[in-house]
Amino acid sequence: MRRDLELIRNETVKVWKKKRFAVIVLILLALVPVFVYAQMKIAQSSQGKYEDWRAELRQRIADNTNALTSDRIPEEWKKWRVALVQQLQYYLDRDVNPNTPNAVRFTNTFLQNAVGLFIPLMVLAVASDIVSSERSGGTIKMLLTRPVRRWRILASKLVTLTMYVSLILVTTAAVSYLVSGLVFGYGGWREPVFVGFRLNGSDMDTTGVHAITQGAYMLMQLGLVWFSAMTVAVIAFMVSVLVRSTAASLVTMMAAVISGSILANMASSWHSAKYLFNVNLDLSVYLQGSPPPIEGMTLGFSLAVLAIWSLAAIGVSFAVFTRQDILA
Amino acid sequence: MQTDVKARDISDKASNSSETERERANRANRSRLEPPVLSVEHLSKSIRGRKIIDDISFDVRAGEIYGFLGPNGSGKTTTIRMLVDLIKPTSGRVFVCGEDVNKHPERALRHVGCIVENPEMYGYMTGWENLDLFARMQEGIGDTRIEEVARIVRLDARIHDKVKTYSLGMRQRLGIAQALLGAPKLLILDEPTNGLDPKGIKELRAFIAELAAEGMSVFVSSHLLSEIQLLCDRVAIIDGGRVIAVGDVHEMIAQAEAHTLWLFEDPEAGRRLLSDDPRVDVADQDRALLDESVLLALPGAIPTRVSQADIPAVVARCAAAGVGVLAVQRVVPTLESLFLSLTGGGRDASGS
Repeated sequence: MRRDLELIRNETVKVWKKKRFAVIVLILLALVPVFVYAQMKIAQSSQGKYEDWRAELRQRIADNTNALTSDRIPEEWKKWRVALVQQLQYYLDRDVNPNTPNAVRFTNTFLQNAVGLFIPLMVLAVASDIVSSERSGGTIKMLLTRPVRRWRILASKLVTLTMYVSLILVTTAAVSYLVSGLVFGYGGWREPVFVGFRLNGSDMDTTGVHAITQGAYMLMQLGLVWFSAMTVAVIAFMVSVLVRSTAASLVTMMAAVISGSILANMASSWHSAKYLFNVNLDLSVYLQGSPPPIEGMTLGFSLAVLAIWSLAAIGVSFAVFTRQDILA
Repeated sequence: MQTDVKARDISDKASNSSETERERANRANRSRLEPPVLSVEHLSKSIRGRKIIDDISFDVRAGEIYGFLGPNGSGKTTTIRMLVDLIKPTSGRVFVCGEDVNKHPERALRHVGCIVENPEMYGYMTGWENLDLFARMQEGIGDTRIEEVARIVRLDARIHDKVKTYSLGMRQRLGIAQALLGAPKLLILDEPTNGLDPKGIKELRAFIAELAAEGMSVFVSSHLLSEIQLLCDRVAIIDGGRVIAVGDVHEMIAQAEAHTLWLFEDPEAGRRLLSDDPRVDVADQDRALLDESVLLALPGAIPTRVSQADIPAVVARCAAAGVGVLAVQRVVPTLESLFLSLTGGGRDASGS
């Protein structure tokens, strides 16, 4: 056990010294201010147009309802708009502003938009070369000729990856909160958010709807984002075991993640696509109550699909790594 | 500083050949009584249906320097990778200090330090951080041991610099330091002199001799016979994935036919004289077997096979005939000529 902790420490040091995490923090520090600025511009322009948030909300409901009558919009977009309209109406009826500008709301929105591409890409920066770099650098020969079983070495790498994924998420949320707070103020933890909207055909079922605080919402969201980020990490881990070159493993995973977000937008009639891991990554749609990319997908379904893919990836990683011949 | 003095002391000793002979004999006697440190039994490996290693067996005793000699592509590295559990053998077994490497690598590899091919370390970390990393993978290696091995390989001055700033020789030494961390009973070095300059090679030889004198077994692979000759007690010769000979290095070299090079003032007259002499066998066809650096030193020299005892008489005969002899030089057999004498007529005839 003590030896295992030393192994995990070794792997953590390697990733740290490679300055992977530092690069991720730099990217966040460069990009988040850009998004904050964009959000600030939106807030300023709507402040100029409407006397208060209720008028703005009414306008948005009207706009979206009008759009529904148009023939040019595809069916699934209509469904999405119906859901949005009914949610906005729910907020209006209860006199709750869904768009008060504050750091917590900004962070929630940012996480929600980042789960599909941005967070997976940052996770890949660590996950893609955690095994393949040892092979392309030749250090695997030193690593595997020490008196330690191979599965222990791989397990220490997996634990290290899990810790870095968690750290990346917490850092993303923290940077987003701290930077946006400069502009929007650091409040908003206790503001209410409605959750539990359920889509029933084209109608919104609001019987299960209840209010939670934005702070609780952020925690729930972070949990879901963590689950989907871990799935990406573990599959990248497997690719990293299978492929010698770091570049090849990075490109493979980026292609998988990006094609997932493309598929999610166009595959609504190809039903079996819902068993692919990459269309299930955006778990926050279930929290928002928007319609899922493919009919029949639920939170439980997506979690199960991601879990099965993850377990299979871990199984393959260990099976291959413990048996494979290190030829070159 | 103290270790510096010691290292010089040892290299002085190594250059004194009678001392070395006696040390060798002592070491050999002592080690015959103990069980082998490394024992390879009927090792074979097939990759995609092609047999790369075919039924290799040999033993390495405690405190001996064992050579593993073969041309490039003969299966040296594949075999070494099987010794340290990087490649699983198709059949056969490897024991280190009685532990099966394939079944219990965590026990067997405790006694092994190795460098397989190039000593690759993490370039983005310092030498110390690298050693610390590998020290943590094994019980009971503390900072004092890291300091000690850094001093032994004389890297203590640069140990806190990033490895990517190291020269090849320094990387080699860091690799050896890593291999020595766990005070192994068996040190495996794969072509350790590759890429080192002559001074570095000499230092490495003295260093290996010192380690063996302290009781460590050293297993060294090389494609250069001279390298093995200068370093090893016993040798296994591998070709085409098979061990074609195992034995005492010096006995084996004595078996191989040595060549003698002749350089005359008048090459034509000299050649005629040698060809006429029944004691001399002019062997122009063997030119390809000889060490190029020796041929370069004597351009136009005539390679021959002649018994050492007959050389004075042949020289006298040349002098009497008025043909000036510029140089007569005995040439150490190369791996190629050793192969010839071992396989009795060409490597291709041996079926490889």
